[in-house]
Amino acid sequence: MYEDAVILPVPGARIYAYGLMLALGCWLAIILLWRLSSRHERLSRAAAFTSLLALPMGFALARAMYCLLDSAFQPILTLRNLLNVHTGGFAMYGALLGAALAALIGARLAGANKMRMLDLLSPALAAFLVPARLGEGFTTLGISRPLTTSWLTDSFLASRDAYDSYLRTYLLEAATALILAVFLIRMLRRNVKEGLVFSSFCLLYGVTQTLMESLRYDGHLRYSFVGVQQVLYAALFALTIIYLAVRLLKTPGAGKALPVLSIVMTAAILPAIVGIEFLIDRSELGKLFSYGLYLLALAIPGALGILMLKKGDRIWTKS
Amino acid sequence: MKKTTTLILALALLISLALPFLVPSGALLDEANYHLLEERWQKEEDSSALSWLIPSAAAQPALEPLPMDFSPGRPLDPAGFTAESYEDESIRVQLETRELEAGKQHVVRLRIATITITDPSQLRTATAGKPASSKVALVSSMAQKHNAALALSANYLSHDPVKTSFEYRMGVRIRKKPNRIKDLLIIDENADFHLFIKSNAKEIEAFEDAGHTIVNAFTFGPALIKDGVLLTIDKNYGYNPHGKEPRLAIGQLAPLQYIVVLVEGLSSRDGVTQQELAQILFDLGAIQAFNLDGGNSATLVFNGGYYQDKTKSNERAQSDMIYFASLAGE
Repeated sequence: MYEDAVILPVPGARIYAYGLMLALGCWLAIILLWRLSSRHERLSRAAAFTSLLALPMGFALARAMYCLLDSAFQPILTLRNLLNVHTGGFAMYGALLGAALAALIGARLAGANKMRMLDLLSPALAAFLVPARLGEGFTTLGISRPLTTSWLTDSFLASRDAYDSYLRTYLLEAATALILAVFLIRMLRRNVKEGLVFSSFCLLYGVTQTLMESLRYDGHLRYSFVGVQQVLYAALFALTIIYLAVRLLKTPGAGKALPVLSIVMTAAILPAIVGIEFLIDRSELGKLFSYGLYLLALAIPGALGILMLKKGDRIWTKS
Repeated sequence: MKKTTTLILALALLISLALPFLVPSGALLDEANYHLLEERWQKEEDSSALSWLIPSAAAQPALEPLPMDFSPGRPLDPAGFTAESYEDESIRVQLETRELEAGKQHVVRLRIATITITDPSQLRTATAGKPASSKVALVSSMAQKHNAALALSANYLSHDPVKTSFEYRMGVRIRKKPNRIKDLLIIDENADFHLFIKSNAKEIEAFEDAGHTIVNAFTFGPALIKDGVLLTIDKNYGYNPHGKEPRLAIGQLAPLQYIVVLVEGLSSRDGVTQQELAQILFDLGAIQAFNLDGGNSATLVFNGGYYQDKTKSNERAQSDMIYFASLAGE
């Protein structure tokens, strides 16, 4: 009744539609990275090393993270099962982490600036996510709780099965990744201080994906009611804010109000997010209202982070 | 140098072509999960020589039984419904709401359903996706699709973070690793309830050796009443046994007669302790009773609506449900 993974009808070969979309994402990311780095020889070389290393490292970390953190896999965790990738089971967070580590190694091998390399990688990662998320449409992933909002159930954003309609969250995630890729490319063209494009990626992807992971209800990498990746994405944006705030606090003349406010607000928002999660699960309030509240709560650290990035760019570029 | 860079990039592009052959899904495939778990538990299985016989009821169905699979029940007769009952020639469901004082100025609402069926095949389970998948659906939607005369949430099996459990749905084995700290309810071929304290593996094996068929099995609990004896709930049992929580339990009154009790407080986190729940079912005459997933998971669906204070907005989607079906419809 339910397809676990769509296999393309190619005689003599098992070609997974999801894997094909991932390959497409890799091609898109590699070409974009190559284009963005083509003007500087060292960065161009670093990009080549990064592309080569990111594939095995991303693949390995995505698998390892899934196998170690997923409650369904833990009872069957053996080296043989870990290596048997045909069973499925990967964590996107691990793939992105692997690519970032590959960029650091690639930059070191080519003698290029590590932070600049991470900056160049950021829009490439966002571009990779567009087909990768769309590929989830060929799996059981990327769907929400059953929809109870009637106008949504009839829209193209919903998919229907024997029982209920579900929001295709993978479409929202792909659209968000596309917007993020465009935003980061434009930021790169403005020649901002090294590291800020990557910080923007961590901040904005962390914030938006925290919301997306809440919308997702596909049982992927969940430990009881806690989505493991959601916690990691929330940690990603929170740590980025702390990093930016501490950096600003250490910069003479940068002022203390904004970084202190950012840290305080982030510390306050995180428990509020937990509260909203309970509201979504238990309250009779409409899900749309609850998610509106969620969006507002996440917009606060998002906006404060962007303000810090802007301020940091002004001050750090001068120095 | 530029040539080397281009070559490396080309190699990276080539390597990525392996992905369509390697990666089927970001999720663990259901079948793979099932086989891997089976493989592991097979190795761990120990043998037992104990035999344990439990009397079971023999039913004489007047109508054609339902197939023991995931097919739905027969359509219900709309004329058979009243506000608090459903009846046709194969099933009788009677609902009742009572208020109970559970402590000082503490009133809870009991939603009681008594069900009489004529054939064991009418006590059924359904899953949102494949039995082992993590797919979820609203119990109310599943109930409608399966023509349930009465449906209730079970133990939300896909949500168990440990996955060490003994689970069957409609004769399909989903997991077979008894959990040593949790009790187990097995429903056999006669739709009789059998409770296994701490999921005693030897007792389960003896039960199977005695020729019983396991149709449905649920690891959750605790067992509340076993063979007519009111049990004392272990203070260390899971899910806040001594807290006043919304609760849901299913019990057997007699062969092919069952009782479902849902306890809800006046607020969403109010209810009774597990011991109080056991006492309620004991007072209602249950001879076997088992606690199911409570809190916001506890759902009781009747005639397309809820027999509790719940709306679609706050109904929690779950992986499976228990339901009672009719044999009468065409």
